[in-house]
Amino acid sequence: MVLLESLIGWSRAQFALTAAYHWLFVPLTLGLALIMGIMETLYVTKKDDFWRGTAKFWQKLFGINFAIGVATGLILEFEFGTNWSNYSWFVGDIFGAPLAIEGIVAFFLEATFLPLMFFGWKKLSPKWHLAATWLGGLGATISAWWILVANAWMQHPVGMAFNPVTVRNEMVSFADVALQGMAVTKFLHTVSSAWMTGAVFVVGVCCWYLLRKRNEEMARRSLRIAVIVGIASTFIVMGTGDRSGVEIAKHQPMKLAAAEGLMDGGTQAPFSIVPGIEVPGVLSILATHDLNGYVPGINDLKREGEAKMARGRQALEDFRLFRETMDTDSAAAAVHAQKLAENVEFFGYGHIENADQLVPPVPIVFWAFRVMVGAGGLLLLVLLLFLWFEWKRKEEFPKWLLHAGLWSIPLVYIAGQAGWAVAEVGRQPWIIQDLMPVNAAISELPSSNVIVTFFLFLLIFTALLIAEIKIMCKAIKNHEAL
Amino acid sequence: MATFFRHVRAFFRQRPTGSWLVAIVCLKLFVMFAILRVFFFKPAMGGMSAEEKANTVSENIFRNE
Repeated sequence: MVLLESLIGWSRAQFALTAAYHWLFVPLTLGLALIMGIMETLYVTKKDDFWRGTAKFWQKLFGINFAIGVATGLILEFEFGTNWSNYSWFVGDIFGAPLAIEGIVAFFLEATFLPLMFFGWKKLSPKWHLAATWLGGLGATISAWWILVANAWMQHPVGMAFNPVTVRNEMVSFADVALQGMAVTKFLHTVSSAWMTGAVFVVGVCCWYLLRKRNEEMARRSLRIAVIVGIASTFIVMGTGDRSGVEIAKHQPMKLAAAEGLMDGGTQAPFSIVPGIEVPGVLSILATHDLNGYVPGINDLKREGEAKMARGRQALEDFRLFRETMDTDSAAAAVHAQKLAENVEFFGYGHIENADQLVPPVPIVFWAFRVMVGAGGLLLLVLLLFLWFEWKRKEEFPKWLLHAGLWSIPLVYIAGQAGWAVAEVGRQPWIIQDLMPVNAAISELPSSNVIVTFFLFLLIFTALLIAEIKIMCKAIKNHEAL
Repeated sequence: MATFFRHVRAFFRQRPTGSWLVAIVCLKLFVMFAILRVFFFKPAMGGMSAEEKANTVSENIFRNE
């Protein structure tokens, strides 16, 4: 048991490490794709060579980030097959289909248009080059869509039926899987947060130039675009975050209770800003859009969980009896299959030994949520201040604001990582909500294998990150705008 | 195709960061596919038939019960 715990812990740590590093590269790719697309559109529509040079500069930084980050997500797929083989088989084509579409779309759109964008400035007409830029960015964004569809399905599994013969979930409605509310909300929330990351990155780099009084025209005009994109995307992040809260309240109430540290539920539930400072009723409004909406607490959900655990054990027992009789007694097998179908939505609860296991690590989820929201609020404030100074047509931005803009770069990454911590730590113990806990998903491997690859990844990804930062800093430092 | 590669080469040559990027990308892909994938990340149920995989997963599900 201790060995299994260690294997689960290291496998989870390895997946978290890989995903966290991957998410350092992805948001900048998506965000810069939008911003350089806008700049190149200005070049084509206004026929202003200033925007051509500016778009090319941001494209260079996009290229560095893309080259270093490309394929880091594939390691997650290696891990599915090796560390999480029970899960990979159990989810069947529901998880495989979106990932396959993602691979094809990424390959065709990104592999076709991004090289045209990088290498085609002299070969393509401005309009065709602009089309390549937008289509390359669209390819990356559509890739994100399919990855997030797969992730949303893990948070709220829909559109499938469990087949006890193949021990797989089989898709019955592609539309339900691809277009369910959780997937749409997750996509909009995640992609808009990536646009925000790109915008804040551009703001930060521009602030660096302005502090050093270099490339001032480029910095000032780029900053203007980035501030507008940043503010617009922050509002989309807030709107979709609100929608996400309602989805989580409906489908993952334990995650919401953990994010709020809410032990006992009720109507007019308070929102806790930090422990001890609460705003009455706000959590009910956030979760249900109704001041009198009921929000269950951790203790309520543990009590509900006891009943689900009984049904989960029954589902597992019927599954066992089905497997034992399916080759020898088809009538008995049909009865067990029928009984299994009645409780299959609680299948994963059969693995839960006591209701305490249903509670995710509350301090991590609670604080990660506050870091995400707090950092998002600070970033919005900084962006609004830049807008205000622009509005007032000030000759120069105050130095303190330029420093704040520069330091916003790490802040936006912290916000993004904290957001993923809320989403993924908050859904523990589930790898697939209600259907499979992480301890049932794991492959039987020696822990030592996972530990070795964990540190190997730590080394490789850290080296990649250092390389990216160094190359990018050098490119920024050496750039001389025309 | 040859023209395309000439342009690619020209792109990297005209940028001092280009050569570093190419080296890093090649090294990364080599480590990922030729080392990690081959030696560390063999599919746990590779080589099994669909039926064998179903049996293995159901046994593992009961193991964790």
